[in-house]
Amino acid sequence: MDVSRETLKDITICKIAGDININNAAQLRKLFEEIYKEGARKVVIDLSSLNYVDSSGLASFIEFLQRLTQAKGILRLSGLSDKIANIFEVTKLNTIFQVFENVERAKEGI
Amino acid sequence: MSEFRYQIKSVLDNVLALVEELEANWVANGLDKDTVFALRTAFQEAVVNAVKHGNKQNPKTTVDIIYRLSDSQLEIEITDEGEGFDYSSLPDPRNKDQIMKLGGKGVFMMKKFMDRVEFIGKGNRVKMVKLRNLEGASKMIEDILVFKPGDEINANSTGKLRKVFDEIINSDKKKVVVDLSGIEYIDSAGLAILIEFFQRLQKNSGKLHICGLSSKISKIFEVAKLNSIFKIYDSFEKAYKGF
Repeated sequence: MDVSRETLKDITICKIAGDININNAAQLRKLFEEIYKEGARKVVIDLSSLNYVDSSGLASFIEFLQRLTQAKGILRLSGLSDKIANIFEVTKLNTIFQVFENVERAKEGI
Repeated sequence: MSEFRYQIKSVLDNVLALVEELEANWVANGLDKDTVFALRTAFQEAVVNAVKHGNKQNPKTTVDIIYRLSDSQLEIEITDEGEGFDYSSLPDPRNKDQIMKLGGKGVFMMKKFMDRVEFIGKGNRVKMVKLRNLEGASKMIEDILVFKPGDEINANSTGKLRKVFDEIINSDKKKVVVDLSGIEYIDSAGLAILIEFFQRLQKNSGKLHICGLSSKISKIFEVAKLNSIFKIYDSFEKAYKGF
């Protein structure tokens, strides 16, 4: 898993590439915690280079969504490949996450 | 049929190494991308569960994996040394009260990405099957046609279903297993089409065996008194061997 991030105005864009699995899900949780503690409340996650996510990875996303929602923040996901989108659809997580085609779209009106 | 056996120590790193090894094996055996992705998802969730929840990551314990590959299907059996768990009453993680929960998604993903998932005994063993080259989710195993419909059988999907059933009748299949394990709901239109198919098959001296009924679907069958006309089996194995 490779992570990069940038902040544009008040929007934090975080790109996660590679595989998210049981071995690095904890690292991801830590990253999300950091972003939250830095005060970011509008977050776009770019998943266009994400190859794989398992249930522990999904849990990290849900946890982050809960935190941001509680703080009246916004979390948006973007650029899901068909495979990743399928995982979100099968688990119906596409009903709780805001999912966008790409980062540009996700940034609009956030 | 080829059989592969693996034993790994209950260390999470070993799981991912094995997943990579098997993925290569699947690709080498000509499985298509979607099948490989589905297998990987289910397999990884299952072995992680075995290591993490079953064996509590105790490196002195092991997880045994048997993997069988034939022309028609892949079967994976995973056994840990743990206490098992109550697999009879797992909530649906898609439900409103469950969707935000961090846990409980893994087993569900296994079920969704495989054609059959069966926990055995106290729950420390799981057997998963993926049918190969799913053409309209049906597959011949010897002279038996196995058909597994998608999510729901209702007024919207009966047209598609009728086409499949027409095909089955027209191609003169005599032994048919309808596996309903992927079905969450069936309405009266769905039941009607199933009855019609059953009658047509019977007229053609064919036999229909049904399996994979959830407790919900089971009740619907009972209420409609269909359990007395259909041959219903509590596992795919029994339905398949029942001919």
